[in-house]
Amino acid sequence: MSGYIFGRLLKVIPTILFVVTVIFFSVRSLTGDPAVALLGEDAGSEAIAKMREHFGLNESVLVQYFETIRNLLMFDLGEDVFRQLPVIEILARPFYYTIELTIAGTFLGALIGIPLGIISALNWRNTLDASSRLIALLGFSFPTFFVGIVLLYVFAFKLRWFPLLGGGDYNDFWDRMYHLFLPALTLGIIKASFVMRLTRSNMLTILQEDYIITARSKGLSEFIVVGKHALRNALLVVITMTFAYMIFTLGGTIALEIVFNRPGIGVHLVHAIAERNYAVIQGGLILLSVGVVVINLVTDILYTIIDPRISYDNT
Amino acid sequence: MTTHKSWFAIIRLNFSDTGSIIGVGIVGLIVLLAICAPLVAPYDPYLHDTIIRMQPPSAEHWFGTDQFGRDILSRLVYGTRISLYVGIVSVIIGGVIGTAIGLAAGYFRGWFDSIVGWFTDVMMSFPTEVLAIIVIIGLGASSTSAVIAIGVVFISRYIRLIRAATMTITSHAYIDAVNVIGQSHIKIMLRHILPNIMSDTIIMTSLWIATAIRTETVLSFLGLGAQPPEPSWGVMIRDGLGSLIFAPWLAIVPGIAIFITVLGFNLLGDSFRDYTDPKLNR
Repeated sequence: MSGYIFGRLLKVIPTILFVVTVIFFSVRSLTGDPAVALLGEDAGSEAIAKMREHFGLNESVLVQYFETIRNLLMFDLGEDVFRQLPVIEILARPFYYTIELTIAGTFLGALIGIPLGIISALNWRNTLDASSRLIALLGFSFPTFFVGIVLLYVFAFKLRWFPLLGGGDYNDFWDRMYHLFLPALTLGIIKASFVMRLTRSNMLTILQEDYIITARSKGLSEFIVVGKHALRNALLVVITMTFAYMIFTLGGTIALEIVFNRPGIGVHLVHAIAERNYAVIQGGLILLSVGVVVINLVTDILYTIIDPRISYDNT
Repeated sequence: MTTHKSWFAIIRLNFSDTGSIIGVGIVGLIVLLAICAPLVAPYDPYLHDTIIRMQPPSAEHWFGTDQFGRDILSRLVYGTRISLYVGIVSVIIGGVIGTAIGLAAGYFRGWFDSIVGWFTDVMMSFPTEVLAIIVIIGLGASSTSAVIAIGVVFISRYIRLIRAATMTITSHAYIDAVNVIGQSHIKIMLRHILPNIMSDTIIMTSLWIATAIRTETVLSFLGLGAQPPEPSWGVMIRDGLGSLIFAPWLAIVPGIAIFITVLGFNLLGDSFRDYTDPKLNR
């Protein structure tokens, strides 16, 4: 088991290296000179040359690449040339806002989706089942950011139950939670349709297993059969998969941050792309990627813990 | 998963339940609107008219006008072209490249398959939006970049689908038989394997067109896809977001258009799948 986990940890290295390489060369091929972007079109060629020299842009791409890798090993994401601050300092708080929203959205998704899935499975082929499946299909068809706009309009503009924009005061926990609720609910609604489908199909499979038939023929009440025998087993898979799909929730947060004007990675990334801020684009994408890799790693380890049938030997 | 039914059978059976009829209806309507956009749209989608800025929906302008006095309905109608263009072309890019790589990997196995498998795992573990942004940064923001970026995202999805299906088919005895009689590998792949995995591919394609259309609107909304004044639905929502309080229809109407279109392709894909997969719990 620990051997498997160690092997899985080792696999992270080539993945991160590959992703960082792709991001580096993608950002490098951005059209436009960052020195010109910073100093303006009218700047003298001498000033621009000096600026390029200062930021190491005159070095060959390969030298810059190895420089980036070396810095990354020391958790250094480079320097933002516009604000003259380390990128990690600029992006640390936004990263926190993004992660906070992703986790809250995942949690609400499970909170809404799991009960709906159970109800749907227990009423298999009924109207109730059909209507909850229809809701799931609707959830798959709405872009997350549009659901955000509708909720923003109804609950913040019209009813004024929630604050309009922003991420809340960073140092005030309750204010942050108050600002978090509406965007998190948006992600949760979209996510719930996935969780619901997953819970439903898992419950349906398990309800057909032999041990459920045994439990029923023993004369156990339906409540015990469903609650104790079926639900427990179904939930393990559902929770693990929900966790794995946190990655796709992370993708949804980017546009949602723009809608709610939350100061997360998504907003910073889009601004950085507009001002051709190499270091911040690169740093933001690398942070998101590391988030993805970590979620995957934890999911794989969770799987081995919940499902003893996965072998750890041949890795 | 591999139930070998002909393409025509899939299409014919499609009219068996309400969901598929609605799906076919929506997709048909969208395609028709895209083709006949100049005939259907009441106004020029690019025409500025500052006198009628931000008008609420009325008899002359069914869905109102935007901040430049452009007719929302006309822009919506022309927007179907961008959505279909991005949705279909990106899936074709992903489909052609992904199928070629997936077929080769599933058929030859060995080291090539190992590399492809690892590459696919890495790509698939990324959220669509993040992967697409990485590609678009390298290309510059435009609707063509969006097509390529979404296409790249779909390559790995197709590889995974085709590779698994190819492995199943390759284990059948008739593939050994054609191998023994000396058919070339290319011929075996194209004539004996590809036709047998086509039905699975078509089902997923119609679901993935839905995903591609939705992703395009997200990218355009972020300012990374189609650029103003192009009447992309994502761009329209982005433009309308600023005046959500005074003119909510600017953002809401294109959002509903996206929803209906994506729902149509999802319903279509679902009904294909239900038909070809008898094991599905219904």
